[in-house]
Amino acid sequence: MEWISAGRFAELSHGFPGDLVAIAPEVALATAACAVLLLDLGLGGTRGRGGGVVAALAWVAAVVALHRVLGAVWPGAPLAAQLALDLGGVLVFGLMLAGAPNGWVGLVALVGTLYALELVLARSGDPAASLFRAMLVTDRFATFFKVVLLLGTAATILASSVYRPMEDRRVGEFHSVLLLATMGMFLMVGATDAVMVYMSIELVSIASFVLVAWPRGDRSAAEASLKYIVYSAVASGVMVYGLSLFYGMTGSTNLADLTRFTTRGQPEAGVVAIASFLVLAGFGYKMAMVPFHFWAPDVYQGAPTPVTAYLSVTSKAAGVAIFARFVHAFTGGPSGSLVDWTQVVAVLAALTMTLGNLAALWQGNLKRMLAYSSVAHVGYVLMGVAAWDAPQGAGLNAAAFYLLVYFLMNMGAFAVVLLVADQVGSEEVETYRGLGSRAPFTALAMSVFLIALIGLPPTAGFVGKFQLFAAAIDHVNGVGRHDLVWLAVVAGVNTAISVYYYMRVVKNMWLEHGEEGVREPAMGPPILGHLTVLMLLVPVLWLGVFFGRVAQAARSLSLY
Amino acid sequence: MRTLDYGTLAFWAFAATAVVPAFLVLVTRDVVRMAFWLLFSFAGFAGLYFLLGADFLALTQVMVYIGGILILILFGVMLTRRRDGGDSGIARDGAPRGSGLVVQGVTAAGLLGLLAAAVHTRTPWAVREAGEPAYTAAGLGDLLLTDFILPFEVASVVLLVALVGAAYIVRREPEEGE
Repeated sequence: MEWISAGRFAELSHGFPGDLVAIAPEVALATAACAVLLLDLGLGGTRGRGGGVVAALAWVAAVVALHRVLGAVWPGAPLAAQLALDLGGVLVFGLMLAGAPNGWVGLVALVGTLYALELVLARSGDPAASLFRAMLVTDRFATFFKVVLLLGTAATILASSVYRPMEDRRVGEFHSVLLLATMGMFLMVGATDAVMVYMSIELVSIASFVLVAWPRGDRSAAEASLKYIVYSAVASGVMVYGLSLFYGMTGSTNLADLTRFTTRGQPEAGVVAIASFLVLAGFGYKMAMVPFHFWAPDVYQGAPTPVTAYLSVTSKAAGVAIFARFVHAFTGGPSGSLVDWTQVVAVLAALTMTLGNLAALWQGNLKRMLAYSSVAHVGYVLMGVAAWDAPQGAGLNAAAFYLLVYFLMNMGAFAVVLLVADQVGSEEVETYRGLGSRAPFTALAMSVFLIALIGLPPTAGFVGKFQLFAAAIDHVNGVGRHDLVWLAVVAGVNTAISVYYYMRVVKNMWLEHGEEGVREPAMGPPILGHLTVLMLLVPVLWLGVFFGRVAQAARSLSLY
Repeated sequence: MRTLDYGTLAFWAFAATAVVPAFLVLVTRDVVRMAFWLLFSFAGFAGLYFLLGADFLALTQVMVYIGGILILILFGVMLTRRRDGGDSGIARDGAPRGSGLVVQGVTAAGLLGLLAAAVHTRTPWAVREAGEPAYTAAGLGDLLLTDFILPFEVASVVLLVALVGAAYIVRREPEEGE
């Protein structure tokens, strides 16, 4: 047995302590996941004193965490704003505790999420850095996506606390798996090494299978999870094959080495292109890009609604981020590409939005319709990715901003689906007949979310889409030709198509009446559910008008 | 064409052991038979790893895949009861049937063949002269705790998620009355 010397140890571990500090948000998420798991294991199922103490502590911690997030977003906020936020936090978190005997479990998970958010925001100004021997980078691009991921996670935790089928289940495992999935997505958006890419995608995938299968004994959830596993295994296999080809050619798993290889001229353009497509197929699968979208409708319909909302927002965002990073790496920037990646991504974008929209036209189940609509929205986002080499990164910035907006409006729409299903017990579009007279607030919120999904003013959806269209139209290729105008036209036609199926729901809610003789129960008072919807509704409208600051934050999202 | 030495001969033998049973796994319908074919396939891969000088990887392959996973599959088959299936109500858009299946199968096989041919003949592999076989475990250990420490740690998180998920899904709670 041979012990290593102190000097050798220092050499081997060089840089790791600093790198650990840089991945503090990931560590916070993992810690919170373990804390939730252990606390629930020790105290779950009982309303004993232990649970009460933890609940009170979590309540305080959550309000403090929220306060600190505000401090990180808006240094020197006026006292009135701080107090209003604190009181809002006390109210919302208190409702979470009051709603279910084990509501504190979700609250502990929320504390972890908010704390991670504060850590991300506090370090958002740091210069980009490569961590752990070039496994991972932290740059502004990754940071923006991490904020979106954490907001999505927080909204999911809130939504699942009002999701009744979840109530009697063991919620500790659910929340810990959810937090670890988010951690995996964190690693995805910053991964710059093939090994790291694979590990992070597997972490996200396995956590997603578990989340989808959550309602035990529910056949549709089990089927959705099984389909997800099978398709995902194939996609992972394809991606790993592509990565192994790159390793075979470069002898390195590092993304930077790969960039050097793909841009050094024309070694073997054909095989490089094949390997690139195989790798991108794996990422395309994660974000449900056509032609790798076929799993999305089944999984989204069968999964419990909060999980559907979570996957449709965060899994997509992480997929888009890693896709954009690799497209960027394959080309090494605006010049020197072997394949015209702009047109390749543009064609994929056009296919994705068109197929998604056409399939959404004749869906009777609202969750399935929103699933196809989410496929279509990936197409819109890819429009920004296709224009990634625009000056000042306008394309990527527009894509990132749109993903933030998409989180708000899509999460909102799913929250309404959840509330209505909770009351009426159905997710069919037909059950939304006459919702406007039965539950005016819910129906109004749903209308706003759907109008935002179409992309009409005065909502955030319009602002986001406008930026994407602008990025595509302004895009100029190497010879000074506006080569993405056709894509903007396709997107315009698609938007017109999408009006039909979104407006069908709106029409059902306001202009139709419920069937005679069938008396649906009036919408009850799940206050927390309505508050969740409200918290998503306000930013959708707010960002539709006062988008300046947030859009500014989405500018200059440089890649490392 | 190179002369056929023992190394090449061993390579083809192991490659055939890896690939032919893998194909048989696909066409067999009985799970137990699949598991046994899988055993041969795994063993073939282990042989390939030995041949490439990856002694640690080869032993891991034997111990984990043949010794662990395969036995687990067999236990899983023995211990699970067969239940009646039913329809979940999830629609199946565009699932291939009949002649569509044949067309898609042939197309996929053709594309895969083209892909394999292109990759096999045209890839500029980064090759290195084979040296004396050496023990790789020490080097792997160093790498896992230095350059690849983050993926190594994340692997433990992946296992945690898988364990928690599996434990949750298979656990039976009395009040649910399955």
